[in-house]
Amino acid sequence: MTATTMRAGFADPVFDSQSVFRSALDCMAHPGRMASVAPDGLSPPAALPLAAAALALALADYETPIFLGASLNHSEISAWLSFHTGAPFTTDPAAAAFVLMNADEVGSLSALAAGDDRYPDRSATLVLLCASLEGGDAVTLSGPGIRSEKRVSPKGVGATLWRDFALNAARYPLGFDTFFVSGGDLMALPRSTRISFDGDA
Amino acid sequence: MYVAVKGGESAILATHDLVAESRRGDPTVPEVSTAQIAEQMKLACARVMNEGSLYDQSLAALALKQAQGDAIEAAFLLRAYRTTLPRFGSSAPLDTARMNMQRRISAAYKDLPGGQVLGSTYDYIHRLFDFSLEDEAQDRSLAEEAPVPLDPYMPRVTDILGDEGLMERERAPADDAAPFDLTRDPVEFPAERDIRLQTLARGDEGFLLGLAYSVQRGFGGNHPFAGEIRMGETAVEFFAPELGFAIDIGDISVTECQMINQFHGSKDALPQFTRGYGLAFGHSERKAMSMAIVDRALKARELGEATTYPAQQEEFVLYHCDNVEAAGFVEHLKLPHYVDFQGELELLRKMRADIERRQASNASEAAE
Repeated sequence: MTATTMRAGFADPVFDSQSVFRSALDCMAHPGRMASVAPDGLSPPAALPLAAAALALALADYETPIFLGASLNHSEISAWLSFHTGAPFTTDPAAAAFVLMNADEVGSLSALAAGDDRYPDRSATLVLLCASLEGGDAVTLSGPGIRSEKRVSPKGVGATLWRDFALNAARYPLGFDTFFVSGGDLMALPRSTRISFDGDA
Repeated sequence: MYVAVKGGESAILATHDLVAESRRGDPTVPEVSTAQIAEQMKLACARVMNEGSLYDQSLAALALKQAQGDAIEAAFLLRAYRTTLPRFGSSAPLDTARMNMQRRISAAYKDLPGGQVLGSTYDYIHRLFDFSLEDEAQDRSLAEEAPVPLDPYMPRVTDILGDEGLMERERAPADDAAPFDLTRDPVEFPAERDIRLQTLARGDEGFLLGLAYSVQRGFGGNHPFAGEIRMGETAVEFFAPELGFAIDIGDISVTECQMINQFHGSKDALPQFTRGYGLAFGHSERKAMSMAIVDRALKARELGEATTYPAQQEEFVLYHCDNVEAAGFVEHLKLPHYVDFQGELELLRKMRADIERRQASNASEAAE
């Protein structure tokens, strides 16, 4: 990989990072609310959606190991992330600060770092790539940051995965936090959000 | 309990202007430049870099100028700035054996390989004012260059002793894991040596000096030998994964002190000297020596010594040597505590009233 073929990161690393961070923060504060990011000039490798790339560049650094799902784990993506963030890669999902995966390749999420009782912040952030943030199986979210209830239906997140997210929420304050991304859109599911399924009492 | 206090904004803003005015002093006196501070107040800059945990002479000079020479305030500025810096890696360990030496002395060996190099030191200067320094126009005489260069081979004294097995070995942790990082993780007790050394390195010079002095005076069992003090420039190397090898990213000047302390042995191990280690940015001998003495005192637990004295108690030393934290907690007392204080005031009045009432009723009973 030479510099001439390296695709662009943030045009203005400071302000672009801050702006993406602000969007991520708003999403985490309002689970299920959608936001879009479109930093000028950001041009990640094709398989990496803009929102996932923007989150990685804003949040990851050399102290935050990244785990890439099999569909993302190729040299174009890892070289680009490595060049722009300095983050190391890990093949152990439990050691990762950021886990980037396609929704359809998720096995079990129980291996992700969930923090410990003294330091629940030492946990992973999952960035889940979805075909769309709407049009999939719908669930109802409630909890901090949601006035009453919020219906969400990211495409590709099936019943098994939602059960995993519900189990994750049950371990609060431990657990991982999730961003669903599609193109330049993102939506957050922090561990504090409760999930109920249609048909639940 | 602190209460958000509204009001006083204009008075608070006026303090900023007054600070600026007081910092500038008499406007008929030329303003000092940060370059002048960096060049001519080197030792103050070194202290600020040590306690601010950041090696940057020009920022240390700016911090000193901004803080009107208040070393702790300047260190605080540097610490605050440091937290905003992105991290991109950590350097390879410094090799102080390959230092470009400016000063190197040993109080343990008179004749040691490479010799004693006195360098620039106040050790042999009478504490008499040099009033000629008041005359700015005067030419300063410069030191003459020595006819022969320094011996490139200057082994560390502790290595010489170590080769004979007379000195306690520095052992790398078995797994050679990355050292603890004080700036990322909370200190936990019992604290391992990496935690202790990092905390001491940014610790307040005055606090560590006092503790080191206490150790020597009998509040701790050590009266060590200054095995070696060396000061000079050493290269900082950074391993670039893209290149696959380490590159030299610049030189920093450091002072290293190795203290030789009395013996330790057991029924299985021959007695050996024990060591205390100090390392500080810039020319900071007093700091490096104090650090080395306190480092040794804090080994008490590992060496099976009683931890009777303050300098041997790691929680006491490590929690209290950081002057930025200490200043924050002491100076927070200036924040409004109005509600707290009203509570105590009311309690005190009530207690007094109760006692007075009781005394009055006792007196009237006695009179009856």
